[in-house]
Amino acid sequence: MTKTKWVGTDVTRIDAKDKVCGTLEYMSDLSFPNMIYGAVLRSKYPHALIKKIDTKRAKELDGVVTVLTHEDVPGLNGFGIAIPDQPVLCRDKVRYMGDAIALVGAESKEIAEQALELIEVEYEPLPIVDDPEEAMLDTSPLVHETGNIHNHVKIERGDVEAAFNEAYVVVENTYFTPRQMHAFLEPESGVATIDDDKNITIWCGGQHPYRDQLQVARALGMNPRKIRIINTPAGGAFGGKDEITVQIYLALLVLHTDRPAKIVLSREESVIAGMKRHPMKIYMKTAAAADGTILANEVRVVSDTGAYASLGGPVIGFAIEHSCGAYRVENVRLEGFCVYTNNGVAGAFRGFGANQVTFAVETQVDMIAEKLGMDRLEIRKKNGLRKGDIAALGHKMEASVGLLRTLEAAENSRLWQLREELKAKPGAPHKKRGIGIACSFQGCGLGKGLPDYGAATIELLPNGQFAVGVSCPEIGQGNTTAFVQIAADYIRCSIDDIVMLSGDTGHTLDSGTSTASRSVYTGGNALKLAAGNLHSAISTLAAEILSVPESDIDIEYGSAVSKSCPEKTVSFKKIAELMVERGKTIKGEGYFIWPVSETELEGYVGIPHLLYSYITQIALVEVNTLTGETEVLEAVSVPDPGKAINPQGVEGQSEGGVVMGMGYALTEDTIIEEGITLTRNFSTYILPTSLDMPCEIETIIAEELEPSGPFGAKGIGEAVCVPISPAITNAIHDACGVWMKQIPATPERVYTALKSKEVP
Amino acid sequence: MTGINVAIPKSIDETLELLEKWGPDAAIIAGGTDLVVELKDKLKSWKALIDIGCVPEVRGIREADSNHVWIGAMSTHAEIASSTLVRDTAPVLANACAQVGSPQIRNRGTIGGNISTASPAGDTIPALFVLEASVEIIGPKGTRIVPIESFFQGPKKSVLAPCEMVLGVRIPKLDKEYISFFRKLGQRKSLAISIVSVAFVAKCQGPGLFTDVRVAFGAVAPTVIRARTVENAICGKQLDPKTAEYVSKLAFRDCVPITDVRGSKGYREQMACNLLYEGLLSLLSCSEAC
Amino acid sequence: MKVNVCLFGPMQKYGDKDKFQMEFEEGATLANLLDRLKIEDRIYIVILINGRRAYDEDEPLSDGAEVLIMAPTGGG
Repeated sequence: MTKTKWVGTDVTRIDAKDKVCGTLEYMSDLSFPNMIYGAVLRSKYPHALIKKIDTKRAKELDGVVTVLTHEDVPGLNGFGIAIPDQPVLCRDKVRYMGDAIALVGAESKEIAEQALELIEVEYEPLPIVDDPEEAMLDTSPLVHETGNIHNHVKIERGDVEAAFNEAYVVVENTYFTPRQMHAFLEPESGVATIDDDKNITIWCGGQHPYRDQLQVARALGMNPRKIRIINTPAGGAFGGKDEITVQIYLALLVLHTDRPAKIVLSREESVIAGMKRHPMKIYMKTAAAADGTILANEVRVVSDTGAYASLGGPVIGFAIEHSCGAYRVENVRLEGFCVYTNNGVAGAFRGFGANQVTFAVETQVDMIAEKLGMDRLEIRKKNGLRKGDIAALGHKMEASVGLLRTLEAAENSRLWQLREELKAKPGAPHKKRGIGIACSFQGCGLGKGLPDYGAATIELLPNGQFAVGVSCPEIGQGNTTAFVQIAADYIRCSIDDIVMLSGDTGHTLDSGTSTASRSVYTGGNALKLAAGNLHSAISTLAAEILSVPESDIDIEYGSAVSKSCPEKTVSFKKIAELMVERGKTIKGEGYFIWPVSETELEGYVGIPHLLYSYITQIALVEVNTLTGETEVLEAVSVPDPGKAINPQGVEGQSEGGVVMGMGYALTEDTIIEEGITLTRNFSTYILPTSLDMPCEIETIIAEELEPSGPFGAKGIGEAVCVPISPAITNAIHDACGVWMKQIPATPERVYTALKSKEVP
Repeated sequence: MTGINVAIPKSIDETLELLEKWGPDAAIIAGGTDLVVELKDKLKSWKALIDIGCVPEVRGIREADSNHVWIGAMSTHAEIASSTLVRDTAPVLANACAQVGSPQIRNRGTIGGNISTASPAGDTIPALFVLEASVEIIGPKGTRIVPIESFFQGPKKSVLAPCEMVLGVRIPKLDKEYISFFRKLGQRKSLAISIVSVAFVAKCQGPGLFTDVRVAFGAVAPTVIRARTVENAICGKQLDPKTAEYVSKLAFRDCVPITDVRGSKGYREQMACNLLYEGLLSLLSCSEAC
Repeated sequence: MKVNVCLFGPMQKYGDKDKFQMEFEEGATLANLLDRLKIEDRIYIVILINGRRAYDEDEPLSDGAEVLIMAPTGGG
């Protein structure tokens, strides 16, 4: 491996100071002269036909600049990453409470909101479907005319029946998972401008500027070139800004008014209209031999994608791919359905379907261990994937596999070693302590059959610094800091000499999404190629300056050197001066295309993956048996991110992930009844607070270097929030003997489970 | 949106004049932790707000006389929680105030606001119930004093007449023989609205022997309630962990909770019993309490 | 001249195979290629020529060029 100066060291985030001091301007903080404010009229019903839309009274209100409806969408009236099934502005039907019907632009936010009340919409309410299994029946109301089943995945390998027959132990359960909310600090919002030539610029938190550009272009019927998207810095995303949020509304407002426009959703509107994690019902039957070898797994998942597809299709595929955990399982029958209902919209969310199935499979594994009297860590080590193994979908684990490394590091952690001692001292006799462990893997990249590529640029600036461009947006995960470190080591310069450009179609090439734990791997690899090209250009000029052949030039940190005559050197700064003098530019571009698994699954795209990150997490909990309250006292998180580019950054991701996964396990759920959201803000949607956090989260980084990654890196953005949830519910079982098959494991659910255990 | 008038009176007289002038179109704003939410959600549409932040008569925590503490309506939860006087003479209230919302809410929210809002889940109210506090109300006809238990008429409903406001609360001091606890069950450890809360005060006559027992529950009925069945069951009996469990189970007799997004009726009933039991256990286990 | 074409994911419906060669006369542009493949939606599409993103249909083709055609997508 190349020797590095920056990669692998703790580097302060490049945005840390501005974020900590509160001086960072988020894009929704931007304002322009003569700017109008937009507001969106949402549906009054979860399912209804629109008979008439009358905007006359709203248009007459003083201060209203424009009121737009479906008639004002010049291009395709639809958006959606996979299929454009969500109307920009609904024409004849609404399918959930967040559906947009009209768009107001006004002199102030208050006037815009007042105008919404003056828009008259005549509806004819339709029967709703709010249960995904009911939605699959022929008798169910149709959310879309094409049928309520959006995607169906079915994969069989081996002989499941035979395995169940010969198994020593079989566990069979049904699990339910909640509709978790991304709960980013900055709700969906942005600002847009338009120039005299009708070029549109949109500043809006997002996760793939080049795809936002295409989606806006499609709705406007314009050449994408005329639309510039800036996605960085976003005030959090977690998958919830992968899909279009307000970009098209902003574009429509500026197009129809020739004035800058701003839209900031309120938290309540964000809760109702925005994406969520797919709630899933998971049936799982798992067989094991007497020695703990997992023999077979039968899985049936029904996933509620709500009114529109977004990435619901790939999410169910991903869930199925991960439904047997990070284990070798030779006999599988796996089936998944992604179903439309009138319950909000679900889409991408950190973990992408792995969270739900990992909760189920990691509970199953603990149940098997209990029945066999086997150690919970041993059963995982026994079945855990190793390099070269065949995983559940029948694909070979060809890339780096760090699962065992994470399990072993977890085993040696203080928390695991002292577990009996720590469990023995609960805070009161009616409080019981337990420890839980869980592991998982997480596909990195978009997966087989989906084009996954990324470009990067490096340009020598006149002052001797380098402009580094990667378009994967900074959504808070710290990828821009990682890119600076990677670029500095590939260029061989100081991190202080890098000017980072991120998430801007105007200044960066298309590097793809900030999703799928992919941006560091993709951007890093593209930077490696770009740095190679940059070095060639530098060498040409350096050779001229030093009067040596180009082949004699070597690049060292900060300068070009003659290999044959090492005293001959020229600094990058000097090279930059000469570059300016001669009117040249020195620039390197890199284009990287992801390697993919050799295994092809006929008829499916996005699965399987070639590359996975791995993780083991442990939780120590205390359950109050009088109330059902669960307190997570301590946690250990052992990720395998490949090379940790910025170890401190990995720790940050790990700690944030633990708390997000803890909220998923214990408190968070967006409750929708008959299509109506009951948990409309953060007083009823229960995010953990600082007081609910474990007093200690220890992160142990277990690097299993990936040869194809930049300096051996894979990705870690998602895995960190996944197995902690079943680690917590497994710890609840360890504490008081109840299996939680539905999360969040609220005090009421835990208490009810405890009570039903008491009844013989 | 049309603007809203905000008046900042400098005295209680001025406040009363404004209340009379605007009538039901005006609302008193203290910390605003409930009122601003109602405004934002367009649940209410007042034409004017009367900010009593600069009215000296509603401020302060002091000894009213040798037997009573007086707490001005404008006192914040943070002020009450950290008041030595309250901690010494009515610790159950200090304890309850320390568990309200979050530091930000405790710094803004006031005891007068908590009482006037009349939520069955208001955290100071069970404490005031067991302290047998009185509410001082001022209005155009002068001042009147209402026992806290008679103040509430239902969720968000109280005996406050239009143009009246809460001036403060009078709390009989408890001597050192009294012990107490306040416990709330929320969906998380802070920024939580109580699923159930319980306040307990009693005179300790020896380990496990209590007289003058007062128990109040929040969020289990349309208003905060005193649980007299339980009080009678505890009073004068020698309690051990077993009997404590038995008497705590009587709590559900005084509770008529509802099911909502935070908890079901059945869970609330059981939690009323269990929170009380948990509190009694902690009293029994710390023998120095008496 | 000969151009190597690769259709990715949903775009595979425009070809019998996902990788094939096409012949064009000198001076042919991307538009000619898209016409011949009968690709109608030319907005929500990503085209890379020799790895670089091509935006304009009048972009010239060159002998031996690798043309990747795909629908934008996402996933996890």
